[in-house]
Amino acid sequence: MKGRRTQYEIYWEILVFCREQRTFTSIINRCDMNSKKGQEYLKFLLGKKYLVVEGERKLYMTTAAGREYISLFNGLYQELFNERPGFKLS
Amino acid sequence: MTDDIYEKVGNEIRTLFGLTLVNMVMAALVMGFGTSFAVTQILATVEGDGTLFAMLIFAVVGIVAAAIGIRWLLSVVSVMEGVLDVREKYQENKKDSEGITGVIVQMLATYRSKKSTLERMVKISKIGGVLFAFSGFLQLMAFLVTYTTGDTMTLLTGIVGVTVVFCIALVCFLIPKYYGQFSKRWDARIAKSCRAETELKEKMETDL
Repeated sequence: MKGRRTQYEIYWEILVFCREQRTFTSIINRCDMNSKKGQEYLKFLLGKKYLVVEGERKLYMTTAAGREYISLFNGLYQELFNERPGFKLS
Repeated sequence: MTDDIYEKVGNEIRTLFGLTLVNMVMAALVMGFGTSFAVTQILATVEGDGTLFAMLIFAVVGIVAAAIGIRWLLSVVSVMEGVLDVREKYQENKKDSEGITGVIVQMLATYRSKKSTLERMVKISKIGGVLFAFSGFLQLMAFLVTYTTGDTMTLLTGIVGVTVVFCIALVCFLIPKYYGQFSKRWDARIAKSCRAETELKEKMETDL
């Protein structure tokens, strides 16, 4: 994803992507970040128990707490478009 | 609610795409007219056809207009790149909650990164409008001074030519108005997203 994302948007992207087991490389490629930043974000999410690491291959997976974050984020961001009217040429 | 928001997001992307496309056409016109005007004046200067000083001034105006057109076009291309990325994401995504949120996140990220370019584009558009209005005025004056034949075809051609230029000037002034509406709407959404992040931060702080 191009453009300027906030850290909370990046957390959301990582957690959504990790609803299935993912490797570290696939996460940083999908979420378009460098390795160092990726490690920081994943360490933070692991600390919050939003992610867990499973198996010998060290696959990352979103937890129930992480899915709560996703749900809250979806609701809050969709509210941004829940005003009338939307942008329309007038 | 998901379908409703999906439709709203889609409409907004389509409107923004159309607006940016019009902007691109206007930028190309300014560049083209500026270049044409400069070349005409330079050739007239070389041929010694008219007042040298006036022609040089007009040639400089044409070159400046062409340069403004190029700068404008580059800004529009940058914005269009962002719009196309968002549109692609919207078209690829399923109509589920995460899909829509992903598009909204992409739109916010794109707006944050393109905001200064949009502001520059709006300023240049106003300058383009002034240049076209000025050019239209010059054409009208030149036509009124030189029209003596009473020929209907010549009169119509002159009127059409001047009208086209003034219409382009009008569009150049309308573009900032619509982008202004867009920016106002998205600035409000950015502010709202900051409040949303406060709520997310509080949730994270209460979680372990």
